[in-house]
Amino acid sequence: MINVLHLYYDLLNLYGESANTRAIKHNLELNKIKVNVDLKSLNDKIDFEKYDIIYIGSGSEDNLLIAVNDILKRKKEIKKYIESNKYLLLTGNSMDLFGEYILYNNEKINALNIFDYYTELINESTFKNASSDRIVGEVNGKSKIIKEKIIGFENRCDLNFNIKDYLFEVNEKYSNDLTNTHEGFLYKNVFATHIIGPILIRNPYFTDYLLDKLCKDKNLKYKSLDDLSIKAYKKYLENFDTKKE
Amino acid sequence: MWKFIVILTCKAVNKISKLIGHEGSVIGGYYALKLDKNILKKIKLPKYVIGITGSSGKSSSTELMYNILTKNNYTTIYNKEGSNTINAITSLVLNNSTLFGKIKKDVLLMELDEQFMKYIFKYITPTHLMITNITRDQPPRNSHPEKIYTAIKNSIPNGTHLILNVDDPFVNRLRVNHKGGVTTYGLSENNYSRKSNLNNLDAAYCPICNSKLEYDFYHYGHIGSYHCPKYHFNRGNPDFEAKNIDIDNQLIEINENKIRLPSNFLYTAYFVTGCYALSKTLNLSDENIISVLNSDEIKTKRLNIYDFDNRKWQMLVSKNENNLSYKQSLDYILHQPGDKTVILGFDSSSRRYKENDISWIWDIDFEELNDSSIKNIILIGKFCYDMRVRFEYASIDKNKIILVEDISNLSKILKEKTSGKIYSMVCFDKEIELKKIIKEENND
Repeated sequence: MINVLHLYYDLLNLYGESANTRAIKHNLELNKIKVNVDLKSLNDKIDFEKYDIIYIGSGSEDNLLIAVNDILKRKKEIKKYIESNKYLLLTGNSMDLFGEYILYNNEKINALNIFDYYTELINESTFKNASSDRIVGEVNGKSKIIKEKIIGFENRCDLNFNIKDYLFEVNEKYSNDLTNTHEGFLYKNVFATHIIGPILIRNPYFTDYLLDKLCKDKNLKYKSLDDLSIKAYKKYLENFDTKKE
Repeated sequence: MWKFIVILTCKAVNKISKLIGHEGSVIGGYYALKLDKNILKKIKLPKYVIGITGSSGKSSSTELMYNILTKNNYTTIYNKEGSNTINAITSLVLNNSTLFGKIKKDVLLMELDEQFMKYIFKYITPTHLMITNITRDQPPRNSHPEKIYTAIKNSIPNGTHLILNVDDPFVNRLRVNHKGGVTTYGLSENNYSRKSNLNNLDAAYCPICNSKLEYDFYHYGHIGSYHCPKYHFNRGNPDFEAKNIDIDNQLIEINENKIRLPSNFLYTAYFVTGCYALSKTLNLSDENIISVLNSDEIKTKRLNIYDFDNRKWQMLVSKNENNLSYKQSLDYILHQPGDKTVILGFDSSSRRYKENDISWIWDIDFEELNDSSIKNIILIGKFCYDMRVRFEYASIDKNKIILVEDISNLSKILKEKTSGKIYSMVCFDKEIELKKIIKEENND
């Protein structure tokens, strides 16, 4: 039995992100492994020890700040959860919750301070794309953990500084602080990326890596069985991977 | 004198632009603003300056409002093509102004873009503003609905009378601390109201105390009847509520008056009710509003229905990147009688920009296509495999799903492998290809 927690499912969920816990469930069930997914949010009582993997998605700036207030009350348990090598997947701006602080409209808002990066939310018009004041676009990246490319989409206004252990390598315009190719954050079994939406659906090789690792920890056997997602992944690269990102 | 020259320039440039074959609704305004960026402030506007905005339904609402007003002898100007940039509105206003800067009309009616509205309100203060809904819509352009909400909230001037769809908690938030009149409208529970796993994606919490809102019913998404458990914020009873709603037979009742809807889509009930509320706010009588709404001149919306191999084929527009508009189209298909084959797909997420975000397909209840009347689902377009994965997760019987990568096979597949009335909901470029297939079939 694998216990999954989708935290802030009704607050940090902007871009189809319930799909990620569905992908975890689907792939484990294809392997005949029992899965339980709990949905929890503000003020809910949470027994962190129960869970094997926790997922948090991305939210609006206001909702992120509402979530900060709630998650600060849970700092001790979350720190313990992370240090005991349990799995935490963060997409979009949810990684901002775990850094030292968030700068927003010249105000410094304390975050969990579990990791020593910090966040700045930007709102000036710097970018030339569909949305003029955010980092928006298709991401095509590499990682040290799997050989296959990572695909996805970013739609964010957070910059993260002082990250040494990154998760993916991407085009500079989608990186953590826009100064190098480093994207996301990796620590023990914490996997954080700015990519939004159904990353585990769209990246079956990454999902397999993650779930295989998790299953090994739990002495369970895992095999890659989601052929449809692999086909969709390959088709996307066939259709759209014309430019080198 | 300078005002005279600016207005003249605008009129002349638009005339010339038209003469040389351009649509010419924007360029005159562009030059007028170059000459005097405050020109709009110097125009004597009509008694009523009405704006209509929201994520969806604003074009239909503006058009209907124009009909109600003009049929009731209010002389009205409006941005018919929905051109809602500052240049377009400047053109509209100056073209209809005398050279001395007076608009001799009763109403200036404007369809407004949620994010551009603030640039117009810098110069023009609306007397009335109707807001239809705030939903996920083109996220690469609009980021997220909270941002649209904030853009609207920050641009509303004091004193403007708001006409709000209170079924939408985002829209309802706009009345909190608003200094000015508020009129509300909404729909009562009906056979389109249904709960799903994807209801509470947005605006799930009370804006005052952050308690989770409790719902009596959902129409779709976060639109429905809700209240804060600590009574800080609720939908309440709208000032104008459509009751006895029968979408299939195109009927609603407001203030005990029977009203015919222009089509059998749920969203028509919303814009008719919204326009009713707005008209009442302008002191039109029930009789005068209803006589227009129920007149034959309000044309029933033309449905795109074609013949194909002795079957009917109805085309719906694929509202990519707007999960709730897309869902409403699925709801519509499900409500139609008889067996159905559904064609879905897209080559790109947007017509407006190159970015292909496909996260939105995970915010749509494709699960509801698990219905015995849905006989086949055909997936086309470059993202057909992503859609195929989505349908796998929706637990749709795989024997019902047909992937068609080469569209030249579609006609044969439809004839040999599918049954029931055909409903297609595809992106714009794919729609052209489907129309070609229908045409070829009917020419044989």
